[in-house]
Amino acid sequence: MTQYTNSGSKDTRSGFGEAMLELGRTNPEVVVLCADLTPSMKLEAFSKEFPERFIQTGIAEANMICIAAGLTIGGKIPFTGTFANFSTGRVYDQIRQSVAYSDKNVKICASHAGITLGEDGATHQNLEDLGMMKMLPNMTVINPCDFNQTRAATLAACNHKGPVYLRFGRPKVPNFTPADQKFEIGKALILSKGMDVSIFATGHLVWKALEACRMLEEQGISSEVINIHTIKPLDEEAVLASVGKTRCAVTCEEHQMNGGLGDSIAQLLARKCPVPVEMVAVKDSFGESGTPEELMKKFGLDTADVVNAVKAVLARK
Amino acid sequence: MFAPAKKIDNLIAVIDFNGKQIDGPVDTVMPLGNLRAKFEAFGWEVTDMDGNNIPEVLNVLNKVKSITGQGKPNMIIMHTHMGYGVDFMMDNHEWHGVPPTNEQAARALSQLPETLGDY
Repeated sequence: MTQYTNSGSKDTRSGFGEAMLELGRTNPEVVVLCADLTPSMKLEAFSKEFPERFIQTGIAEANMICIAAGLTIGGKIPFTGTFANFSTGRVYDQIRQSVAYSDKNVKICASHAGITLGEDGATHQNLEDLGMMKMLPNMTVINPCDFNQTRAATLAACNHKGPVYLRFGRPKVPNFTPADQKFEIGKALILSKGMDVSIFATGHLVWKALEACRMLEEQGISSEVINIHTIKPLDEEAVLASVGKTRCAVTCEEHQMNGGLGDSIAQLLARKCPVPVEMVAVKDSFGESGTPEELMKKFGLDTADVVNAVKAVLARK
Repeated sequence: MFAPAKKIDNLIAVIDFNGKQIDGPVDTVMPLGNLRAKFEAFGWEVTDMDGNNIPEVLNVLNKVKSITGQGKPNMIIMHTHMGYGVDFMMDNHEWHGVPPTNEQAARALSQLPETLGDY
């Protein structure tokens, strides 16, 4: 398999913060809105350097989304910043009506997604956001896997015209994709080629999938690891090309099984190429308080779970 | 709006008003203006109290209880200091979401006579 090295673990939200500072310096239309989470969203540097383009809305997320939608009319490119929990369910009506239906150029940037939020517990661990956002027409949904990719995805979201939901997280995780990568929205990345099984992973699970691939290789199983950083539009061509070869699939995500990446891939395969599919995802439960590592293990999102899912799908092939 | 409209007058609500939020003082992040006047405009009976003064808290709770049943819901604006009595925490918004280390917790508890022996 292709080898990947962790160049030093970093949090994906810091990749977002770094890209926002760069966008502030290069694009005068970029405006940032934040609902009382400036340091958590890594937006302190932007807020200090561009105070006239930083809008503190207070804890009023619905207002923030509507102000952002309005700003687009004058040609601004607004980025809203709060946690995934407050970026989606809390403001779904405002996003649906004022952003998605109106096709406004708003970038909804959501940190602290999933159970790796950790100690803050179930109330803040949003595991439904990808599903809610991918169901909205006009919405592009992006879930990068590490610091470098989050930085690149943020820059790409700015250049994309239309609503974007950009999801990232809180903990420090391996940083292994190239610092100078070009991020192409909707284009899946084959990280390692293989013949026996296709592993489609997104977000923090991409590194776990690569670890699983290495363990499987030692056991004589050749897996193809594909990074689906864009949940919507799904790169159907890449999925079908890989599964056409391997004839089975495992999906991996830090999200509910209902409504997530696995759901999108299973739907595609049911229509175009029915093969066995296994899903590594949260199975219809809320999260809980714990360290990210403890929770990934408890909720079945660890490397061993990917390995087991591969074995299960191979047995059904 | 609902409570005054339906004359829910056996209701006592309390706001823990410490004037701080994650990004800083409420007056800097998004000022609330005159909170008392806002609740009064919505039809509430409003009482202010010092929430860090326990005898006053007991006194005001009893007093407000005695004025229930008069056609209006009751709001107590409880003025407090976040991290009260702990020199390195008091009135500092940076402690909003940060758990103390064991050492910091010991230091904090040692400054609060009412918590000594509780842990």
